[in-house]
Amino acid sequence: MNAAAILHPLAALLLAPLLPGVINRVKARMAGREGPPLLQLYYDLWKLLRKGAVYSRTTTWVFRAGPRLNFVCLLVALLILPLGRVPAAVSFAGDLVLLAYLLGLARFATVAAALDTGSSFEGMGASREVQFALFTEPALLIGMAALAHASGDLSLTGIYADWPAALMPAMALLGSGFFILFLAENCRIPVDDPATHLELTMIHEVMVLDHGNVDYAFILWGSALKLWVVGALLVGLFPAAATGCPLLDLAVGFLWLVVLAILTGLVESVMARVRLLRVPQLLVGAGVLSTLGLLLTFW
Amino acid sequence: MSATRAVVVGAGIGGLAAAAALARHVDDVVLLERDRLPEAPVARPGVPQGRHVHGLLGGGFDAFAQLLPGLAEALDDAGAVRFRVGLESRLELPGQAPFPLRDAGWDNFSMSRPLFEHVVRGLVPVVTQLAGTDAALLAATRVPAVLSGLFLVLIAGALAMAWVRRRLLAARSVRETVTWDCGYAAPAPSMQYTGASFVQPLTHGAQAILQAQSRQQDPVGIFPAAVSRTAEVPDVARRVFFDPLFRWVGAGLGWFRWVQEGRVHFYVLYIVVALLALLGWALWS
Repeated sequence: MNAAAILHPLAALLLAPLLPGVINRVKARMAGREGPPLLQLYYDLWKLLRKGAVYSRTTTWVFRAGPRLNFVCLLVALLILPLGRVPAAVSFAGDLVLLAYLLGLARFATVAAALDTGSSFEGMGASREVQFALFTEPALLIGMAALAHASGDLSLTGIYADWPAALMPAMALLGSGFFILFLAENCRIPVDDPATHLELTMIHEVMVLDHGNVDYAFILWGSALKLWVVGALLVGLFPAAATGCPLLDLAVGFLWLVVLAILTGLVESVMARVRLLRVPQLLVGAGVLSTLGLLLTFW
Repeated sequence: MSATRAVVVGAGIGGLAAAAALARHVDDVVLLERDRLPEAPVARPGVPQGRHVHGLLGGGFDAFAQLLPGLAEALDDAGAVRFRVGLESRLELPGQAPFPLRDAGWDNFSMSRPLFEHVVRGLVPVVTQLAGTDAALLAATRVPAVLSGLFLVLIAGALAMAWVRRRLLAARSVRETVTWDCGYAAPAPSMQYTGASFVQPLTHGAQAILQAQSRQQDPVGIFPAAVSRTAEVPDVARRVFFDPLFRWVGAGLGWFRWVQEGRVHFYVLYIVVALLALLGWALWS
């Protein structure tokens, strides 16, 4: 582990709340609204961290531990995750499987906390979340398998060490597949609408309905981290040369993440959520794109 | 013929001898060694008793000289001490008189073990040396260590956040109320999500395989009295595979039921017949 590599998790921790801000600014600009300020999430976190708590009598420690387990899983994921050409703090052969399972454990924490409330709304959100995970996880693993095969390396750092320009068609397919995954994993339009306020149509938002105070701060912060984590998988596919200076590489990676956030904002501005029953088809589509990418790397 | 390769584990004297012997028969000999092999004739960590003076026995030297022509000259050049056996060396066994000093008629060498290894290593032909394999071994054992480390970080992080939460909430009010359920304030166990409802989207998606069944009594009239819905996912493996299999096996074995008469003298008769059959078989073979 080198000292420069720990910069990435630190930067993610501090800068991730900017990404939802960017998305919201783009959406507001596209809709001609004033919109919330760029730093809105920082204000929200500051406010929530100083609030008292109200808990449901139905809930147990599972409900209280859920948000922080989710948060810590994403934090550990950041330790094994490279951003663009910035190598990860820790890297070993097969760490991409660990990443998939860390995301799975994070999801499990959120789902378990949601079910702990006993509310049927939250149960419904949890049920949908795991249903969609059933489709996103294979798509993610197949996409990672394609990248591992193309680069001949089984660690995330090795996979994203250079930008394999020779694999352009496969990269385009994997990139589009990962972008759908990025939107689905982060509960963005067209899979879920983060701005909706009708419980029956929500997925992520409905799972965290009963959380408040510090826990909710961890949840919001965790969502921003998840944007960063899943975004980093996509950013590695974007063209960028390793400069040799970790800070410069990190800055380039972050710029790509901001571009990704702007792209997400544009997608959210121009299209509506697809019908709930159509979401699996969209996610299977992402899996098909990943599979085609894998086939192309064997070509 | 395709290229052949032999792998020798350990680059000590024995490994080097094996590599020298194998090198005549295969295209490539790969020598794996845990230590990084030193350039100079110096001791390395993996060799016990590597620091004191050694001499070779005559047969051993002959065997090595056969495998590696030019060994004696190479040892001379490297600075090994050539001595006349019997004349320039003296053997004393405990409790016995020393061997008499008499020319045995052949030369031998005295040197440190690292020197001998160094010279032999220089003579062994066409060998790919993968020294410092310790590093590779470490890398292999590194993954579980790193995984454990990351898991510890996960647990420590969760505990640290629990502590932060406790500190932040210490000075605030923490109250309890009901779960928010669209204003419905009397939650009952029957209202919450069950396992069946949790996996309903999936069972619905896999209807073709799982064949989930549901019965429903719709509300009738303005003031419906009884309304119900029952849904179940019967065990597919049992319904499609195990139940028919066991039914079939049971029916097949039913054919032998007449054997079980229920009268003791019949069972004694079976035993007698079986014993006679065994006796006949024993006599015949």
